[in-house]
Amino acid sequence: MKKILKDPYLWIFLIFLCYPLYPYLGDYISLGTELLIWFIFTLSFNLCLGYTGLPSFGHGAFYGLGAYGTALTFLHLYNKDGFFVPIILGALIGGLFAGGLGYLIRNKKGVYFAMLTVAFTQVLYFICWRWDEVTGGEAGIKGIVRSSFLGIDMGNSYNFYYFVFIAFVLCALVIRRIAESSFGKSLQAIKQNPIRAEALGYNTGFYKFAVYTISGFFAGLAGGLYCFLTQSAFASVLDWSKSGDVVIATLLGGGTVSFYGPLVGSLIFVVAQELLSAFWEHWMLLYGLSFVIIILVLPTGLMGILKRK
Amino acid sequence: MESLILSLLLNGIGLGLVYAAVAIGFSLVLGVSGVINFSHGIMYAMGAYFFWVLQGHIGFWPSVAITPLLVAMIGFVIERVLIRRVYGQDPLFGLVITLGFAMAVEELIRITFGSAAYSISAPSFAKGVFSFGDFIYPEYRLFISVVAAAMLATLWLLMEKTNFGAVVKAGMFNSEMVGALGNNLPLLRTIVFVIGATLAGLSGIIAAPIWSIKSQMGTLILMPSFVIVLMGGLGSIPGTILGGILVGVSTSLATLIIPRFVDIIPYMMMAFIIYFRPRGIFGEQNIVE
Amino acid sequence: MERCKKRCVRFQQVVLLIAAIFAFGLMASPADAQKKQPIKIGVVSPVSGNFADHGLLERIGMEMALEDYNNEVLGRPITLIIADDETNPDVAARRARRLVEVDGVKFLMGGVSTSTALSVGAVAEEKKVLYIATNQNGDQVTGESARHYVFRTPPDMAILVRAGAKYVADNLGKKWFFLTHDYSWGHSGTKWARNMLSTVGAKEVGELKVPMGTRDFSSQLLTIRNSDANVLVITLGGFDNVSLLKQLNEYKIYDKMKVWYTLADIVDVFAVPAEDRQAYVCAEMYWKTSPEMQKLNERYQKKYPRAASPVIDVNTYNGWLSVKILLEAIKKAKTADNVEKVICAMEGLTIKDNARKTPTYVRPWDHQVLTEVVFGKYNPVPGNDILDVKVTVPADQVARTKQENPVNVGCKK
Repeated sequence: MKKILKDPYLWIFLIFLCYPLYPYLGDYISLGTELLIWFIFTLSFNLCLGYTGLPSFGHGAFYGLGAYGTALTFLHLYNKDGFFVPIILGALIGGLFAGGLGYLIRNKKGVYFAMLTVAFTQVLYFICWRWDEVTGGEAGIKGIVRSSFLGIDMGNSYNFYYFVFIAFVLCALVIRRIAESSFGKSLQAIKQNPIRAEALGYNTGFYKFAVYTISGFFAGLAGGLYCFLTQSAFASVLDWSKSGDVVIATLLGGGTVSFYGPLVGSLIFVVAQELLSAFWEHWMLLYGLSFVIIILVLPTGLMGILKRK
Repeated sequence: MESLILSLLLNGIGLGLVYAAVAIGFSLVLGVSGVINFSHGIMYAMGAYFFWVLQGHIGFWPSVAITPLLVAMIGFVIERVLIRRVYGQDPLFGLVITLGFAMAVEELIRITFGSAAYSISAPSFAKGVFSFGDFIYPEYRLFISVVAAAMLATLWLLMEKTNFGAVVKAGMFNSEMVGALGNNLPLLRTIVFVIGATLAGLSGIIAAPIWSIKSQMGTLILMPSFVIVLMGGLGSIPGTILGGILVGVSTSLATLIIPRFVDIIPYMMMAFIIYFRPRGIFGEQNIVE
Repeated sequence: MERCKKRCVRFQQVVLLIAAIFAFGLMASPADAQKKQPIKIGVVSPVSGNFADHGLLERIGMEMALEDYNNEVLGRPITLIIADDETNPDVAARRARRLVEVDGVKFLMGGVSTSTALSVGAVAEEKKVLYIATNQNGDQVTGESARHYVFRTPPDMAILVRAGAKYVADNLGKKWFFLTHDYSWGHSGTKWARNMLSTVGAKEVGELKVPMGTRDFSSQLLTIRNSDANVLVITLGGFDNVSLLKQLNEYKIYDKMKVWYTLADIVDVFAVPAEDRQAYVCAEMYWKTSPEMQKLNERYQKKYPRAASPVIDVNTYNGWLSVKILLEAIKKAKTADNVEKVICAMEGLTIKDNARKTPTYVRPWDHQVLTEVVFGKYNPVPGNDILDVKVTVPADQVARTKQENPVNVGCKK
């Protein structure tokens, strides 16, 4: 019992369980939903960055592909009346593409790995942007409606919030389970010393491929949920700016030192973006500078500061 | 038809040389320091904007001389203050810090000049066109092709024929060894970064009259550079030139065959080349691996 | 706590941190949420990013319209709440949702790109609020994506292209080459021009589609130069135009053929040297066409001498007109709380004091606002008088008919 009480997850879950009750914020239910989606997204990304040390700069693409996959299956296969299956299919598409890319570059290291993730996810972005017969091009895909799920009307934003909340709880538990499993321990071994891990008989290429696929799956799932939140899918999500956002949110929270870092990071990131853009039209300046400052001053993020004490 | 193909071919080579001139600095910094320098594009943009402002006050040639120096100085400061701190760390650190810097400068450009695009006239000595029948080639394009080729040739001589070039090339192969042999590795990296910045600034100047200037021009030039470097091989000068010309000629000729997808062609070529030669055409073993 | 020895941070720290952030968010929230008096108009418009100037110009127009009404309608003050769409459909939808959920606005307007109009339109329908697309010309907004909750102030591409096509065929040439921006708006420009071919007796020589974000048109221009066309029909938007205008001159296109822009945003043309301004263009309005417009222009120049456009431009005019349409509809409906009533009042609304020759009419069945469009040639001289207007065409003569646009989103079915 005491163990459960001391589990940060319990408290995070409780805080977000009560979200609609908060004054002011409670009205802004789409922000809460988006936060939960970001949590899933950054947690999945941190499996790559924080746990395996894979410098991936292309997770925005898997998120975007998840959104497109969900939107397309919803419109074409499910004839505008599915809910659960399109999201799962979207996640699978995210995982599939991440797996394909991960397989191609599984043995690349460091900077070269990062470069290839940028280049190939940019190719995906280009395809989604230009193949307008399928993806709607710059106007994106619209016409997605949230039909009912298990008899609950998902068109209601509050019901949908709790659907995403449950998805978040499940994903969060699964991702932590993965991180703490022997598989997760192996990933950490690879991060700390890839050469030694290889010498110990680990097939590092396989582990990288596997974690990249899993991570792409959850990113795709987040994208699918996002697609139902905005009831649309856009190519702009696949652009590198989204990949940059997830990296910075993870680093800001301290994903490299703590499992819970990405949660703190995305919370600050999303809220700050909302507040900043309302106050100053040139918020991009502060936004860019914050990237610089985080790397220079807080390379281990906020959790890094807390841990140092 | 023949004259059209010839025009397109020459046009493509000219474009390719400009692309190569932009990409080469990116490639060198990547090869020597292992930093994915997203601020390279913004230095190209700074070159164009400084040139645009200075030209109105001090004329064409003086601003051509001063602008690259200004950009080089800025490059020096960025390298010393920001990028130096991320050498040898997670590659995403270098990427994010340079990306953040680039975003901030892009916004500074918008604060100063507004969000509109501006067009610059070509200098009066190169305003005409060469034309024979259907064949046509603007004088200014020829001029910038020559300038870009000269820039690339100078850099190639520097790398192949001087002691400095030998150290740089060794640095790409094994930076620790170069340091251990008594070379000042931090200084080497600074110099290479400043050279990259200067080249970016110069490319910005020569490209401004044909492509016009806008705040996001730096971001938009990054991806072609990325593709060219991956195709040609990190840090390789001949590779970058070849990559640039491949991109220029293929996009130019593709207008005849698949005009709708000219912008996809370079990516397809990149994927193809990387599949068969993972290090790019002229790529060799490098510190970044 | 066995498993949390190294990597985990103590849970209190996490909880405290998250609680602190929420507390901050609460403090930042406005305290005057109870006052329901003012009529709030949510403006979803680019504040930052590449189209910030265009967004600012349209918001200037909205402010000018509020001045006309002394900031008051039905005895209630009006407030504009501005949200930044970053010219990104995804962000636009998010910000529109915030305006409705948090600020409780019932009326949305703004935007300069068709994609944001479509995404905000979807939010408007979901939340049952009214949205006026202020500066978006894509056909879909009042075409296949027409919605009961969406109105659109500027003309669509059918109106613009048809207004110019006859003049072009009669005076400039009948062999047309299309240069099309490769996205839905660009396609619709070329589609309507093609649609007019047989009517005006012109024929198509060829078409090149260029992707958005093209900076170099040299190979396209070489190909076009090599064709035997005598008119180049261009539908190209945004900043790619500044490069294209330059390169049209660089490759001496004007020596071989006439150039017709199916829609030109005049604010972009001020950024181009006078020598590069040689094309014929369709435009939504021009500041010299009527004395009232010139008066409006003087007001604009006096109040906003440092704005991105030296003369009143279409973004500002449409912002001005959109607010006017909304407030007149509110007056007519005698309520600002019942969105449905305002929508029905807006349908069929006519506005005479619109500073144009033709009165503005809101078409009930597709929610397209009809005024007039102009066709002219750029003056290749420095200064503010950049357009030589050849013809002015009332929009209802050339707008899509019910057969061409089979939608009905009006109150009367």
